[in-house]
Amino acid sequence: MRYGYNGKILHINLSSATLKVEKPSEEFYRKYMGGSALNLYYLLKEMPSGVDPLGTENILAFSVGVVTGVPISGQSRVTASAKSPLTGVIGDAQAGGFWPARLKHAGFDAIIIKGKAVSPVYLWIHDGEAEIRDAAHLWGKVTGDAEAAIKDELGNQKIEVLQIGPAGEKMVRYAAIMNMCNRANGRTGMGAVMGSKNLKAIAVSGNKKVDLADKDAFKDLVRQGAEALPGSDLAGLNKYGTNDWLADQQADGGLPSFNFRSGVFDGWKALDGKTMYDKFRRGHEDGKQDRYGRDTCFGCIVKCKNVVEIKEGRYKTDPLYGGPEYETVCTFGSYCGIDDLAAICKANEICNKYGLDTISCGASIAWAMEVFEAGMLTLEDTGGLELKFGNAQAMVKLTEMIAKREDFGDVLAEGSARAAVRLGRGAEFLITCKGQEMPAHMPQVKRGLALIYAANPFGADHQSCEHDPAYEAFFEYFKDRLAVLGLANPQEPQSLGPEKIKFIRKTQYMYSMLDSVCLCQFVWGPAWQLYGPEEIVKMLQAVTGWDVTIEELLAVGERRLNMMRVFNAREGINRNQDKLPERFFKKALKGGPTNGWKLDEAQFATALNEYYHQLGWDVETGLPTHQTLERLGLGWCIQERA
Amino acid sequence: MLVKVNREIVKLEDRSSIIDLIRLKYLHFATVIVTLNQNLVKKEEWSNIVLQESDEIQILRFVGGG
Repeated sequence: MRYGYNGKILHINLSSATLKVEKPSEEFYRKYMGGSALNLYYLLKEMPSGVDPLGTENILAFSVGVVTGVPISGQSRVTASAKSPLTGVIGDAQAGGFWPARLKHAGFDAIIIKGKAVSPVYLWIHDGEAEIRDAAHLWGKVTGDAEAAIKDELGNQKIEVLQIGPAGEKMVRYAAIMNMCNRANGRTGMGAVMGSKNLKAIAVSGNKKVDLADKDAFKDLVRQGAEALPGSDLAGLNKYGTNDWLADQQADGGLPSFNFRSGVFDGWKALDGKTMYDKFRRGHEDGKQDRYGRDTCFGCIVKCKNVVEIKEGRYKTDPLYGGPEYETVCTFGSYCGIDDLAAICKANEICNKYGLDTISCGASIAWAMEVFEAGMLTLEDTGGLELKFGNAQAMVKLTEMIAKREDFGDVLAEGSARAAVRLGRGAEFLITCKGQEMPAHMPQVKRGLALIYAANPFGADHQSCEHDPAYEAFFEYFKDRLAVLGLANPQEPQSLGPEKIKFIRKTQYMYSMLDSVCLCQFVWGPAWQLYGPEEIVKMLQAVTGWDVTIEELLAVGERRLNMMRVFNAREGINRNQDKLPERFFKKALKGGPTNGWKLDEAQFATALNEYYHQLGWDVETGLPTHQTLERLGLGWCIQERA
Repeated sequence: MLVKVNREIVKLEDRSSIIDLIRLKYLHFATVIVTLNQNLVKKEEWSNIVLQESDEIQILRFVGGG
């Protein structure tokens, strides 16, 4: 009997409007688990190298994991993967909500989409069936309107809708894929790929329960999470949200500000979690923000999602579109020198309405602000927008212009790296890795994370390894969990020696596995999460009946990482592209505890060599060796890697 | 009395301990580290140490990816 997964993958060719169902073996599912790893299998097997990311030959893959859809916190996640139109290398993004669980309940584990529809369509997947439907009447609608229209058309208000907004239709290079109108497969431009295929939405519905191999063991884990939640950091997150982290980042000198020129921002208090809670969380007028100002995903008791409502004034926002979290508050806030939280809430609403990655959008605007302040952009270039740091109105206006590809918004819709090329100026101020804008954790403070920013296959990403402080000052809190991964030797802050690299590598395998099994990184992880490595093993065992070990699960993560590296190698990417912006090495930070801090080039180069060596990659090229690929059961990739 | 917490002036009752300060602002977080005048203070000592006028305290919570 099969437990956890459906054993069915839906293949859709939009060019020929054909559908077929594949039923892979149990061995296949155990090897790849789902999510990112399963997507990579199809991208490598069925897509040639060198395709145009916005062309017909790109493949867009959606996968959930073998445990998606079971009634426990943090399992309703979906990964979208394709060749990225922002970076030109592998694109990969995760999202939560109810849609992932409902895809599983509808009878499928993954959807592999090829070709391009002649005219806009949407997919309707329900109770083991799938069909392609006309979406001409939906094209151009913002996410809230499109979702309502689909639910009315299909006569079921409980349908879950995954979709692109107008930004994806216009192929903004960092367009996001949305579900619930406020959950985003945000990074690397997967929404633009979906738009390039004339695919507006995927609606799902189903009642199929996921069978569990060991119900008693599963219930024990559910109970364990409920008991642990009140005393955990997750309890704090569900009161004030991730915005509460601004205080700590500021105290540490690690709050990216003014396009990463500084690690401190005087206006941080106006943006923090308590300010959000007191002034903007839905229900704050009646003191009922704990009841109405939070939201959750299928099966999850953590309820970490922010819901804001602004009823009056210039920046009215609709709670349908959720609320900004830490990254969004930074990219539209401290990155841009803006301390107007209402304006940031509005920018977040625009992004969720039109379907945009808030990180790349805010960061691109911050880049443009620095270029403007340096005198390299004029009011004529920007269509009259005074792009000075701190100009909240300009930031909100420009966000909408990007979403609609209007005037200067069309330039920034290409991403900051392409915008610099198109304008012929501003390249020295870019804060990108492989063309993707950087998230809100500073390389100067978290040196191990800095290495991952540079070496990560899909560009700068803050969710691809555990953060340095877990193996530095905070080690005592996490030592039991880290010991399961063989990590028992905490390091000094800003260190980047072999033991720190080992920490980064092993937690990278773990996060890579989480994105394949499709588990939420707030709930499941190696350190501060609600459940640790041992519970992840128990959960997999209880759901699937497989006698997995932590080593086997880490190997899934390592496998996915290597497949991504092979994908990039086919596109001509090697260690030459594993770089950080030069200004981190050349220009010191200004202000606060990190005043004067720069990265050390020699330290970084040595660390990169050690990282490749530990991964079993060729140090000269940064590519996986044949031996490593064979060890991971990826011998079939060797020809691809060449 | 007045102390500095994360470089900001905070008013506390006289004879407040570190745990009193934690309860004031950080009760709902589990992973917290504290330094007092640049020296790390172990969690088991938080109740025992009475703060003095002009003490400089740094309180940090773990910040991961999110």
